[in-house]
Amino acid sequence: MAELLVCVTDKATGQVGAIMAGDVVCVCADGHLWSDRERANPDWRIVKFPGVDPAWVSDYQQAQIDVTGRVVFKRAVGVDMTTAVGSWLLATEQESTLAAESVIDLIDATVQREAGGVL
Amino acid sequence: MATVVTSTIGSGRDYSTLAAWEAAAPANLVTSDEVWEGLVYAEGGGTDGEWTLSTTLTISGSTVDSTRFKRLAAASGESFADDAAPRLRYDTAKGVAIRGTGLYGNASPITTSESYFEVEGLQLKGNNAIAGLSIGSSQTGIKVKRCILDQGDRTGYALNFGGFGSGSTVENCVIITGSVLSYSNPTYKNCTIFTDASSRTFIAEIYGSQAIFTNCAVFGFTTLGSGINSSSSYNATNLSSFTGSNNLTSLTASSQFENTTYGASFDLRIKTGSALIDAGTSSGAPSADAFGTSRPQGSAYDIGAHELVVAAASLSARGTVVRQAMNRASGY
Repeated sequence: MAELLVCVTDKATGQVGAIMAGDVVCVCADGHLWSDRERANPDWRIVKFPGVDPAWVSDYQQAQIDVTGRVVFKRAVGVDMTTAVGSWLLATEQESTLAAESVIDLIDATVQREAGGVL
Repeated sequence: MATVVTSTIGSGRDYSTLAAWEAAAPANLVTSDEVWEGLVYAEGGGTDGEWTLSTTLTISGSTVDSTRFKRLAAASGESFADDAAPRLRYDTAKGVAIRGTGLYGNASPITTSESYFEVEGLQLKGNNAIAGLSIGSSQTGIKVKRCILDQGDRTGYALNFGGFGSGSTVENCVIITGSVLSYSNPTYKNCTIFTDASSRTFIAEIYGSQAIFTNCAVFGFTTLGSGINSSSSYNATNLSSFTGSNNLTSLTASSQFENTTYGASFDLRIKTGSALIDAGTSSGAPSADAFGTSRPQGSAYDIGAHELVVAAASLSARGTVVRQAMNRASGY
């Protein structure tokens, strides 16, 4: 029941708070009506996980915010683009459907963002 | 002049989510010479199209300046101000409404780490004790116009300015809050600020320099706290004193507003007979109210976010006035 919009290209390497390759832009329910711009953006992929509750993966949208309220990373965790999942995201169609079990692969491929923008 | 790049946000629009609109912005709005504008429709998928965000929309990552920035506003006809029977409270049935449903760092629907971010015509509601809108530390030039900011349980703050920023303005907003309004030094003009919380010290700032209030209605608080600049003026409050000059004090909230009981009938529009009517100043004040009604409607600006429209005198009444004037001129 979950569909993820995932960024596969760094927006601005090293710029604090910018969207990064591997960031989950948003999580929506299965059957979400994506717009033409969202479907056509070459930097984005739509990954569908039928049977997966969006709540299971909604945390991927969370930012990392410091104690002063500033966004350090637009997403606190992201897909490691050097993993097999990351490579698959880069190579796959704009919209892909995966088996629910594959959400485990996605979880395994995500890591906490660290200072300097390195995964 | 910067190009305003306008996108619509909603079901079947340019972007289907607020996060996608934000993430699509250029990395450097200064070099692209753009204002990145998102116009939101009441199509968020919740009740009445409310946008419920389990994680905070983060405005961040683009290079901006005072003329090239991100702006999020209600689309034409979609704001609470456009409703046929408008009210001044958070009401999903009245227009675009965005509510944070997460906890702790995700309880505020929107947070910005970019200066010059502008919001207009939106209803924003936080969860728990968290703000309807959060502004990160040191951000400058933030503009909040014609918004309803509701701090859900009124135990915290409805508008959280991180410390040390400057040059931010909050105009024609209704701010329903707890004890603390914000943490820094914006200028508040024609805002209605209300609480019914049990702990109700009105504190305008803690870390930054003091906030300036002009034409603001501040009601429901029991103690006047810190952070109000002595340049504040023409404010009205239930408190026995207020910092600055030309302030109205010791007023009763229920005598000023349509309904002050937080709930289905809650409505912070000014009511007939209110002491707030014609009690403000035009100096530096916005020329229209939260609904877009031009100021003044009477002899002077009203205090608060709402300018009460006084019904025009009937023709017969006008005729009476004219006759009386002619009689006086004729010596009758």
